[in-house]
Amino acid sequence: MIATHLVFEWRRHRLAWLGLLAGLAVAIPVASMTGAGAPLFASDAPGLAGWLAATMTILLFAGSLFGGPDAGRSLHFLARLPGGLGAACTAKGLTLLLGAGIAAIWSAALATWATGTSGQPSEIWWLADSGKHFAAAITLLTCLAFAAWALPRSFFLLGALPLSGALVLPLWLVAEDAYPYWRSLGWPQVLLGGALGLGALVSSYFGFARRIALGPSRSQWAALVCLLVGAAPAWAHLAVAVRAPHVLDPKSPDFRLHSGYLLEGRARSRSTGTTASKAHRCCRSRACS
Amino acid sequence: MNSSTTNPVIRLNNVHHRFGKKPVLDGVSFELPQGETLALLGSNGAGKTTLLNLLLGLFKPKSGTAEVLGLTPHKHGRKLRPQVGFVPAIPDVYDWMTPRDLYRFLAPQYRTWNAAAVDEDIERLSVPMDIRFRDLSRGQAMKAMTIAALGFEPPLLLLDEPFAGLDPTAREDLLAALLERIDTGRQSILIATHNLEMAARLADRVVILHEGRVTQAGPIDQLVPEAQPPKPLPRGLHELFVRGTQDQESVR
Repeated sequence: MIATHLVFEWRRHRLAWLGLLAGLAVAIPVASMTGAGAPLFASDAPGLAGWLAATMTILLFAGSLFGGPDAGRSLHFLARLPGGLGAACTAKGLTLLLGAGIAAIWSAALATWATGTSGQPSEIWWLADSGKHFAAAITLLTCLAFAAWALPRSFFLLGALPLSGALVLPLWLVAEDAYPYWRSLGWPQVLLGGALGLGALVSSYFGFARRIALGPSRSQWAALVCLLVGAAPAWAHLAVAVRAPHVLDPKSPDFRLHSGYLLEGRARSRSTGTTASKAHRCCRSRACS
Repeated sequence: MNSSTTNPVIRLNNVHHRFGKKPVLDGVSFELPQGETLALLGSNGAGKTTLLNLLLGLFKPKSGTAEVLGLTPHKHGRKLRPQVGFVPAIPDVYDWMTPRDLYRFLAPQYRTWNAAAVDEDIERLSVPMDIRFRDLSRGQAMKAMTIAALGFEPPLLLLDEPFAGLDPTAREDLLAALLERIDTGRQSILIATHNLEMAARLADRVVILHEGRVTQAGPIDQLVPEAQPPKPLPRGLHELFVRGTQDQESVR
C-alpha cells in the first residue's frame, strides 16, 4: 500500500526532483571552482552544499507534498483509501527523506569531486562535517513535521524555516561542539537528535494522519506540543553548555589529535581531537599560524 | 430487492455529534438492511455529510453507537475502508489527476478491483480518460468518481448529492449505472440528497434529517402509501435533449 503511494508521489514530483538534481549538477561545481582561490569557501563547500541541498529539497518537496490549494479537500480522498491517512503520511515522509537524502549525497559527491580538482583533500568533508549533516537531517524531519500540519503552502513557507531554526539551532550547536565521527557518533547527538527526530515524526502523524479525526485546531496543537517536547532535551543541553562552556586546549597534556589537514602555504588548517577529561569534544582551527 | 433486517449494513443508535458547541447530529437512529437503498433526505446543513463522514470512520461520534457492516467505523477503519465506496458531493481527488491516473492509483490498493467492469463503465458513461479533473465538467467528474467508487465492488456505497448540478444526460447516465447495481441486490446504497425525484426513483427507504434529528424514517411504501411510482423521463424528451445539445456543439 505504501509502495503504491510512493509510486504516486514519484510520478507527481519526478520532474521537480530531477530538475533539482540537474540544477545541483551545474551549480555546485561552478560554485566550488569559482571559490577555488578562496580556501575557506572551498573547504566548507561540501558541507555547505549538503546543507543547501537539504534545505532546497525541503522547500521544494515538503510544501508540494503536503500543501497546495487542494490539500485540505484531498485529505478526505486520502483518508478513504484502504491505508488511510497513515499510509499517505508515511509515503510522503519517505518521499521527502529519500529525495533529500539522494539530493544531499548527489551534491556532496559533486562538491567532493569539484573541491578535489582544486587540491582539497576530497575525503575530509565526510569526517569534518558529519555533525552538520546530522543536524541537517534533523532539520529535514522538523520541516516535514511542520509541512504536515501547516497545509496551506504560504503558511508553510513563512513558518517552516524560522520554526525549524528555533528547534534545530540547539542541536546544531551541540553537533558542532560534539565529536564529529560517524563511527563513534557522540551520545549527546544521538540522544538529543533522536528525541528531536522522534518528536518531529510523531508531530507529522498528529498533524496529518490525525487531522480529520481530531479536527484542524487540536491536531495542530498536538503536533506543536510533540515538536516542542522533542526539542526540550536539546534546549536543556544548550542551556547547560552556555552556563558552563568547555574550551578545549590543544596544548593540554591529554589532548589527542584524531585527524586534521593543513593546506599548502598554511592558508588553512582543520583538526579534530579530544581530551581525556572531556571525551567527545573537538576543536577546530580556521586559521593556522 | 433483498431485505434482511437481522444483519443491517448500517446501524445507528442515538448518535450525537457536534462541532464546537453547535450540535450537528442529535440522537440519530436508523438502520439500512442489506441489499436495500436508503435516501437520506434533508435540506442544506441538516447533517447529511457529517453523517456520511461518520459512517466512513473519519471521526468518532460524541455519543451513541454507529455500526457499518458489523464494524465500528472509527475503530476498524482499516477493515472497513476496502468495503465502502464513497462518492463525494464535490470531487476531492487531486485536481491534477486524470481519471486514468486515478484508476491506476486505486487499482493496486483494492484486492477486489474489477478492471474489466471499470473499463466497461468508462465506455458506457463516456468518461474522458486523459483530461485532468480540474478541466472536466462536473458531470464528467462525478461519473469518473462514481466509477472509482464502484470499481472495487464494495458491499456498501455511500453517495453525497451525486446528482446536484448535473445536466439531464449525465444524470440519466449516472442513474442508469446505479439502477443496474441496485437491481443485482448485492450492494446496499445510501444516498444523501435533497433531490426528491431521484430519491423516489432509487430508494426503498427514506430517512428525513432536519437540524440533525431524524423526523421520518422507514420504507417509502409505508411512509407514503398513496405514492405512485415515479414517472420515467419520456424517452423522446431525453433523446431530444441529447440531439439538441449535440446540435449546439456542432453549430459552435
